[in-house]
Amino acid sequence: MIRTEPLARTLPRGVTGSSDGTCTVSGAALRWLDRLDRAIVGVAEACGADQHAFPPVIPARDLERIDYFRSFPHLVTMPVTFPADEAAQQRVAADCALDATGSVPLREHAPVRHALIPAACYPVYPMLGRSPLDRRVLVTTRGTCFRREVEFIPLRRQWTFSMREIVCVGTASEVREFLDRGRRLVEVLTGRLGLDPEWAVASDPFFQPHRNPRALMQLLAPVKHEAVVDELAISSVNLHHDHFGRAFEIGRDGRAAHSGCVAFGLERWLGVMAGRWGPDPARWPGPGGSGGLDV
Amino acid sequence: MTADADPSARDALRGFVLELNPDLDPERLLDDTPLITERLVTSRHVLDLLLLIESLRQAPLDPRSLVPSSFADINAIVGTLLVGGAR
Repeated sequence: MIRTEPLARTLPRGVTGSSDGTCTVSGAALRWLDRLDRAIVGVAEACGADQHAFPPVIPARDLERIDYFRSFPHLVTMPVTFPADEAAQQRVAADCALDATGSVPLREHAPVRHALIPAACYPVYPMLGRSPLDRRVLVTTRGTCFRREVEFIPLRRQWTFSMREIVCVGTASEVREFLDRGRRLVEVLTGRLGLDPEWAVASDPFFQPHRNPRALMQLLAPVKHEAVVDELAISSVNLHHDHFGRAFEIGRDGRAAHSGCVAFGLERWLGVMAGRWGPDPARWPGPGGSGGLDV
Repeated sequence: MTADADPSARDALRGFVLELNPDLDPERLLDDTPLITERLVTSRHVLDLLLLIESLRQAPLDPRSLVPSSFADINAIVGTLLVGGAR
């Protein structure tokens, strides 16, 4: 059962949270969020990143290649469709009344071959797959991501949320240099907004982590650092080593490519801005343009 | 058993790392060579290393007791997990 906190936590004007883990952003809050996003994109593009808009679904095969179902089964959300044959659809049409909890009777369904993306950067690696790179590749993308959680709190922990990412695929040193600069980008942005994040070592929320070698490795060699404001991680800097390069056969400099990403949980930025400056986005400082920012 | 009393523990650890990395010159693998940061041990084999350490110490090792320095190099493994008596 999904547990929820009361929605009484201060939300910015224009933001409506729901106990099902979704959130609607409108008006001045949305305009502010788009300005933040444009500032990040401006920096990324100035550094040579290509912007991509990927579909919100990803083939299950791609998630399997990175061991996602074994590592994060508790987070997966998959789109389900009814069978394609007319007889089955007639059965659905004849008996489609929702139950008392609002659940759809799902007595039969078509094969499930996709999942809703759990991270904005995941489609990047299959896109680059099976190709040697002759240079470092930078990509930026914004995705609506889906992670099924135990509890939902608007702007803090949602089932569906917006994530902007800048991704670097290259040699180990190219990726480390990128992540250093990405961290500085977060610091400059938060400084402009009057936020004072603390950097914390973090780990991904693995299923049964004591049995998962990747979780064990994250204990031994931290690869995730989060910018935390008001106990909330608003950005993370993530080193993947050659995890995606090996999984998708991406080569760089004669070896499996390394990768890393800088992620921005956009709704969370709204949450910490409301905590810092109050509920009216019109009174918040803006992120400014991309000038003066650097990656 | 303590590793200092049984230098074969270091040999076993060296053998494990060299088997994983056939291109690595054995003379370059020292007791203070970084195992994790140099990617000589990765997530693909870290559970095998854990099992080896458990067999060397003849006792289970709680993964939750591990910290970033635990598997840093052979010295760290011997000093903290084999001799030091980590739980």
